[in-house]
Amino acid sequence: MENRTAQPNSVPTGAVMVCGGGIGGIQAALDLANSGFKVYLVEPSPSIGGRMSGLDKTFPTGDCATCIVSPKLVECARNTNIEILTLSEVEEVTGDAGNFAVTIRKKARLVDEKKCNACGDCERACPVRVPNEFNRGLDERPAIGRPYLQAVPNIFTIMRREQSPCASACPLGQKAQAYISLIARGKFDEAAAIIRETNPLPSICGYVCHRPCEAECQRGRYDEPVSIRALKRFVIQQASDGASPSTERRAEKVAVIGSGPAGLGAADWLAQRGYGVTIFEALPVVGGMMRMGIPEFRLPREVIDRDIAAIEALGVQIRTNCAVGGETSIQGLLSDGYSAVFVAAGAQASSSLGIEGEDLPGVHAGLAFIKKANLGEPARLGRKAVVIGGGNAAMDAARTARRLGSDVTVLYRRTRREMPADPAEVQEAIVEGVRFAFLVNPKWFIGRDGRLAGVECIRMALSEEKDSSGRRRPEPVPGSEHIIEADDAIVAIGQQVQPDFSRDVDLTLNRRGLLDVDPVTLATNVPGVFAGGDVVAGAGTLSEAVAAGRRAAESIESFIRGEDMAAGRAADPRLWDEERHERLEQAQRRFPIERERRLSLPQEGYTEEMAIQEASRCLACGVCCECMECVKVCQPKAIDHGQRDELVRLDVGAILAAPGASEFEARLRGEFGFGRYPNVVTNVQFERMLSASGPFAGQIQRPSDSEAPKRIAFIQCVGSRDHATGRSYCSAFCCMAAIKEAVTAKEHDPGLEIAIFYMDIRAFGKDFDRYFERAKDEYGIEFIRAIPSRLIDMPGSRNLRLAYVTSETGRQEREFDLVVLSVGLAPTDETRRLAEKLGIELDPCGFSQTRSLEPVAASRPGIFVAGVFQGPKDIPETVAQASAAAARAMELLAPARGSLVREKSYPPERDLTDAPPRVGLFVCHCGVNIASVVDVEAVVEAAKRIPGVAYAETSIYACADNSQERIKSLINEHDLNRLVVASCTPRTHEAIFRDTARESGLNPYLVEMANIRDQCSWVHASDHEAATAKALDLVRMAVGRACRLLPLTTEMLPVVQEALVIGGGAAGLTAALSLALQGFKAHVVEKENRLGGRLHHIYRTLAGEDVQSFKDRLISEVEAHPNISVYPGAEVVKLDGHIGSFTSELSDGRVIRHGVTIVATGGAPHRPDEYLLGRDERVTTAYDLEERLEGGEIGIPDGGTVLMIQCVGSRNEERPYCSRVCCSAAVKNALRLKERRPDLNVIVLYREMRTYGRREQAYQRAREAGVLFIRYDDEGPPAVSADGRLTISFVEPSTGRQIELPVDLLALSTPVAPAPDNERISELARVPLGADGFFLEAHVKLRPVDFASEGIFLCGAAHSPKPLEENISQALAAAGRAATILSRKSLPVGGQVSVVDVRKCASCLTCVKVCPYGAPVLVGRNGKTRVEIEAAKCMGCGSCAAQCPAKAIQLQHFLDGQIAAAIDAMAEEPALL
Amino acid sequence: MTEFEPRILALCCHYCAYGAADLAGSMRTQYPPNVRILRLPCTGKVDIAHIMRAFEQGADGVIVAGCLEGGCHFQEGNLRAKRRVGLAKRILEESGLERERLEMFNLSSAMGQTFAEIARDVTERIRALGPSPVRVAGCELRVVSWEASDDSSETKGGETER
Repeated sequence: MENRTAQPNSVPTGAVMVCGGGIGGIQAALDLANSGFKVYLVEPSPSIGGRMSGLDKTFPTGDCATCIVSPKLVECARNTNIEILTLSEVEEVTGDAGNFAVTIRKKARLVDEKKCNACGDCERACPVRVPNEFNRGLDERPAIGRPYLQAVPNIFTIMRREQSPCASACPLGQKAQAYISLIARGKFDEAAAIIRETNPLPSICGYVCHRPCEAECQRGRYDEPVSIRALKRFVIQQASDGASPSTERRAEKVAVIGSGPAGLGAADWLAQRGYGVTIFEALPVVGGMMRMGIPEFRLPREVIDRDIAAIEALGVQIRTNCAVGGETSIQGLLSDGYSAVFVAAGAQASSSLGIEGEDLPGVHAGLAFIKKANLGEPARLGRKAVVIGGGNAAMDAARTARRLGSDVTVLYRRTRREMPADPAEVQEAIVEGVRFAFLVNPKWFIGRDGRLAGVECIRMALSEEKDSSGRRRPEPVPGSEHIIEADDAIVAIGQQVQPDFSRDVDLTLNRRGLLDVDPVTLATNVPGVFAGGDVVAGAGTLSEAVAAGRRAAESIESFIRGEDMAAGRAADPRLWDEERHERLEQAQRRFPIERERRLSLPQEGYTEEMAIQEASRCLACGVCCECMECVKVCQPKAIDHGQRDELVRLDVGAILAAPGASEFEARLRGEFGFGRYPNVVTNVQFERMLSASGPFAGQIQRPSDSEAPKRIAFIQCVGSRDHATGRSYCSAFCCMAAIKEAVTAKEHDPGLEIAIFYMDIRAFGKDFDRYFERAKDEYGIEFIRAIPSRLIDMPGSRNLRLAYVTSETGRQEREFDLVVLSVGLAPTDETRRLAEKLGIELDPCGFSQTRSLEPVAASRPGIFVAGVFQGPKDIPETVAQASAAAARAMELLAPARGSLVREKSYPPERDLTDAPPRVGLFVCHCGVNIASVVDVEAVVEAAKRIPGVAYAETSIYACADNSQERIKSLINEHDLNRLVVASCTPRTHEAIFRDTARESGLNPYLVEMANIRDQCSWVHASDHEAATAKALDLVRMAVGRACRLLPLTTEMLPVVQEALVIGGGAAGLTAALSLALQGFKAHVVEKENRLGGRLHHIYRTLAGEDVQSFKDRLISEVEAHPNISVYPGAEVVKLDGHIGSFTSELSDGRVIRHGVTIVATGGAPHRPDEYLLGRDERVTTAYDLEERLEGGEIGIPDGGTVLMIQCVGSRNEERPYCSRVCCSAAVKNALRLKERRPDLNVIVLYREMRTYGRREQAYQRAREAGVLFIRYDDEGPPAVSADGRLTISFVEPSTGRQIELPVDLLALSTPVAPAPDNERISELARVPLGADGFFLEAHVKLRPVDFASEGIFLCGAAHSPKPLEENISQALAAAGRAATILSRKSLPVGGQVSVVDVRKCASCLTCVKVCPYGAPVLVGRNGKTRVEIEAAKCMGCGSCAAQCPAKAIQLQHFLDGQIAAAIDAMAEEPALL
Repeated sequence: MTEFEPRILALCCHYCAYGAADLAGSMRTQYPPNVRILRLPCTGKVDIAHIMRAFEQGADGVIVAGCLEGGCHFQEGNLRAKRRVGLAKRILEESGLERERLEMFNLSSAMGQTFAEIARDVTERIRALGPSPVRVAGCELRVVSWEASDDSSETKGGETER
């Protein structure tokens, strides 16, 4: 309270940032925007709607959540003073209350918000499928899309994470996820095109790439990596040939030395850009190491030919038998007109061991050995051969030697684990009969008769010490020398550069004997000469060599153009980042043995079916794979993969945080098997299942087998009331949500058996208990008070066996087909981060810290909170709190109201008197959405013949800005006076076209839409002819109606900017004070002689705050405020008028004029005639006990017993509702008793402890303090007898035993009853009462403090019993809602409202009975009575018009003639198309 | 002879049924193209005269589709419509038309599939009934009606006395 009247020093900013686009944020935004403040609605996800948009139904009325929330979303989007910033998060907040500066990070949507029209073409083109978060993984969605179909803003978003690991691992940057995803969708040509984009040797790579991608594949963490290389091989073979040569030809030419992968990589890149490229190859054959170094059995020669032919087709010349270094030289090439030379000569020499005997006949250099075999002149080998080395070259040598007929043993100085060779190759070698000797190193070659006879070897052991490669260093084992017989030895331990090419140029070599180049550009020390591949990096892999070629080619282009070659490029990590290189190699070696079997499988290649199946295993790690399929299909060109995050700066006066919460992560309760047992789902998933627009179109099915379950169990309190997981609070909504879900499920399938396992059913809200009773009695839902201990997934059936313990029957087991875990709310990291950025405190559970008497104020001034971020609560409480927080922001920013809002101005309306209709018709293609099904041109041609159509044309996107401009100019050019747009749904687009009309001087009511997309082309996609005929019918209906549309005017009704508050208790005073602080006058009428109401009888809140001083401060502030007039001891006796202009008469004769009415008449404590209350002084009520606890002595002997009985006079037949406050009050009193008199026994007899939300923590504290809570059954309530001693007797339900307890004090928890005055006020203000006698709000979920009649609000116990903090919230909410009216000088009324033709009206009063808003009223004038409809009250539904027997009432804009015109137009015989 | 294609008018309320029809589109749920939707603010606005007008003009069937019972955005407009539809069915019968040509449905705006099913079912039902006798005979059906041009008693803008 203390900071409330303090105004900021400077003029505040008239804008508010609302964090969170859930229902709370939306409500707050609407209230603020509608009362003169600019609002920035900041939402981290792509759309607003929050958790409510995912609900199916709402309790207790069973309203469809979509139906009630969608209009709010649309309203929010249309409000010119609300700026919605989606995908946005708060980065920084500076400044103080009144003037904050906020920095927002707006994440890249990768879709242009202005251009996207949500046609959905991209969604269908996207090959990616990832679990659909909106449906909690029950189905899949593409990488581009909307969270749900009604999403607002209705714009698509691309989900993109970091680049997928497979693509990051590839030296060529091949978008592996992209082509895998495309293969999975059967798009083979597109997949091949993606591969070819960055890979000039795709066929070869499909055979022999070292596939670093597979080593990194995340799928390998679960089972086996996706066989990416095999997929590549498949799709390249499958797809048609690649790119056609570039048409652009450049004069410059480039020489490439070597036709291996590096040379070809460079040649391909340069040729694609039009450069002339000549490759000089020393050998008679093309392909370098690919042909020379890899045996044919691994890489068929036609595969090499195919790739090289494709490069040659680009115009690359290859000169074989042309070694550079002899006749042709680098210098010569440069002077011959080549602009640059790329040296890609490879590492052609084998490394030697440098041991004795290496020159003996029979000892072969590995590379030379393979080369000879590949050239078709293989060496002749003896019976026994050894191969020395552990790399791929060694494997190739061994397998080649095996094919030449030798017994082959591979000698390797480490173990198999360290072998750098591809494990698949090793496996192949083993299969082919190659033997291995590990931890063996040759010492010298033994000759006999001038030829090799054997090798003396020594055993090695791996030391703990690691060498430069990070592997354990092999050390010789002394004395382990032994001789291995061998006729031939092949040394395959590495390759070296032979720098024959550099004879005439002085190229620098490094100490490893490799060419020294710039790591970024690959330029050598000689200008114009570049080098890459093995000649630079030593023996490397195919893809690395190609990548080097492309890198060099890029440098060469910059060199030729005279540009900075290094600009914007980083060094090649594969060349120079040893650590990374090593990491990849190690990952390679990590392949587990069992994987090897699979790796050898696809030798023959996949069938289509196998490929699709294999590709479907991809987890889509990056989500968006950047295949660009969406870009191809997006006609408005809205997709922008290059979009970056943006920082936005906002200046706001106040901040409202309503970021919501997430659900408890069910996996944390391992005993329920969520995530492991397929048929265990969360309540959130179940809700999605129930939804007609959910993953299974409203069918309840088991995830394991898609069968309809017969038996369903709900387990309550999963992650709520749970100290073990740190969730000590009750989530407050789950009991009701479970009942709702159970009831809804029963409505789907009445044969279902449903059991709800619970601790207490917390049906504490308005009409909740009734709903609970109906669930039991009418729907037959079983409620079992039990602690579920274990859930077992049954093999085979996948049914679930639930073990649980009840106090009555002990341990039990029961089998179910589906189990629903009612997970509670959980604050998220996101909300914690937000709190940190906002600088506001959180409680230990992660909810925002507030005080009970300041329920919406965060710890930092100027920041207000609402919704479940403030604490667990349901939708109506969230909505009320949001309006309350808005009210507090309005108080703070009152001086700035209206300063930043804008009203759009329009040209004056044209006079259409006597003008015949001239309809302008625009038929939208909606890209291909309409035009691919409906022949839009034919529709236009046919429509031109419809009477009244003055102009018609098609439009690609009628809603696009340029189309709007065209429509406006055509309206003027052709003097059009009606606008018909045949496109999508008026629910989202009518406002746009009405605005277009207004901008061109037409009344907005002269617009009509024909929905030929959502209700035609989209639903009749395969029948073009019928769809076109229907579209024309719909156009004809729209034109028919349009011709009869009339301009409607709205009148401005002046608003009396004052409020009448009926009731001067906590709620009434709070509401009045808030309005006063906002600058409005408030009149408080209190029938008692003093203000404060029930506040006089409450001393503490549950948290211990002092209520009496709060009351005193509140009353004195109200009394002192100049904007407030107080009328104690008075009653309202007459109340007339409507929104903006009411007149009330008080019992003292005073007349008050006011624009709004707030009903805050409170409740009345019920004092039952039970349990000797009033007859025995030891029997009292909870209220009296509280009063006594504040006073002096409690007056109970030492060690005495205080017993409280709950639900005395409530939840019975007479008062079937829960009074909501009594459980908390009992806990409060019990704690206070224990605190003052620890010696006392305190016992609470309860039916169900309803300490919802954070009240649960106090309940827990009370139990810890030794308060005894004992349940009694509804069937056997406690009885009291006063036979000298006061004795309570009751049946303890768990034992069934009768218990008798002597007590010293009995405190009855009695309910709050409706105020006796309610009925009178109800008639006076013409506002309804509910069944229990409390006032009935307009809508229990979304309009909790509004009456259906506009301009009248309610709050506090008048609505239903509730604790003080909720009364305060509701009172502030009523003030916030009232401000949306009081902030205006006048209100527009009229438009689509009903009007009475007085000549026909017979004053039968049918309309008066029909109208739910009290709009028609009987008035007497000149002695005659007749009915008038007050436009300000009319909501435009037309019920009265349809019901009026005299047809005296017409609903504007839906006149009978207008409707008839549309009907007649439909019925006309269809015109020939 | 080409197969008979029924022409069916659907009077849908703005909030629920029309929204459901839009959702069927968003979900690309296919249904026969025989239904033409006319949007009204609430089914409470549906007048027996509108229904009869459609039949009189040769419609083979009429659907009235509103919010779920209890879910009306204007409290109980859909319940009023239900009663009127019941009455209109009687009038149809008395006029010699099958009462099955007219039906009322309740659905929420999240029930896109349901809308498509309704369109399918009703189309089949009307197809089975055959063309409206009004259409076949070219006869006149006049029960409660008015001339579409009779706007004289209607109001123009804000001119009317209120």
